Amino acid sequence: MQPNQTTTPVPAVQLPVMLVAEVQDSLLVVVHDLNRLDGLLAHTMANLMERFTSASANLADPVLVASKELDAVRSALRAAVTELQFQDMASQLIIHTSKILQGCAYRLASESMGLEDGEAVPFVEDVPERPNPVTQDEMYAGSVELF
Amino acid sequence: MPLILAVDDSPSMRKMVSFTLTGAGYQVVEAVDGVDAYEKAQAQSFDLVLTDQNMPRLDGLGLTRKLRDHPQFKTTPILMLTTESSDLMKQAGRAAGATGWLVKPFDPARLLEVIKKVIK
Repeated sequence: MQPNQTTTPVPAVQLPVMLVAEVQDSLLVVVHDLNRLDGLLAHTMANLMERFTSASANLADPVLVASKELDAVRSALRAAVTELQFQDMASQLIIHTSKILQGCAYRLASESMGLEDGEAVPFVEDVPERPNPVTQDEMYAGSVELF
Repeated sequence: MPLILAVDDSPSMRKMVSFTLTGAGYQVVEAVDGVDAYEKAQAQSFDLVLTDQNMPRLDGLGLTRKLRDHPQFKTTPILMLTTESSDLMKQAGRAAGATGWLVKPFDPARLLEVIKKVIK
């Protein structure tokens, strides 16, 4: 007897629907939390920028410009420029990771459970194929290459 | 003083770049992405363009190609300042016509050194 041929692909590994639903929920919770983290970093950065700008403006005051005692403060402020770029990098890392997790969640659900009758196909952003643009592990200054 | 076009979709990065460059005496015009930068580049001339790569609407490589097609920017130094550090991306930058590739985060002193070197 021939094996039963079906038109819909059968997953190589069958998973209980409840398990898939729980995994999908967990992935979406993580995505939501990552978005909150991104928001917290953006808020923190905006406050830091305000204080940084205020401190820089105060140090540029003509009365203080000639003060040698404040040279160390100016120098520390300039050095902080490298570390203050953390939000841009962290945000890119978070957004890329969120897209991957969200893509996994929807793909897991759509391939394991399919759609119910009449259910619209949700818009699902593809899982990014390119590697994460942020590969740095630390906030040391990056390389410079002139062509 | 030389005029620099600083392009980045991140407000904090634009602020850090502007702080560094204006502190060294350069004039800076900021743009929020490649499209904004290209519009500003059509309106006035710049001595150097410092651009991020990953941006909405038009990325840094796309901006570089468009600027190199523009007669006014054939020889203007264009520096990429990005988190991207792969050789593949750097090769693409070189092919697009970028002058150099700086990986974030930047060190202010090193950035100024590179700008001084490439700016005419």
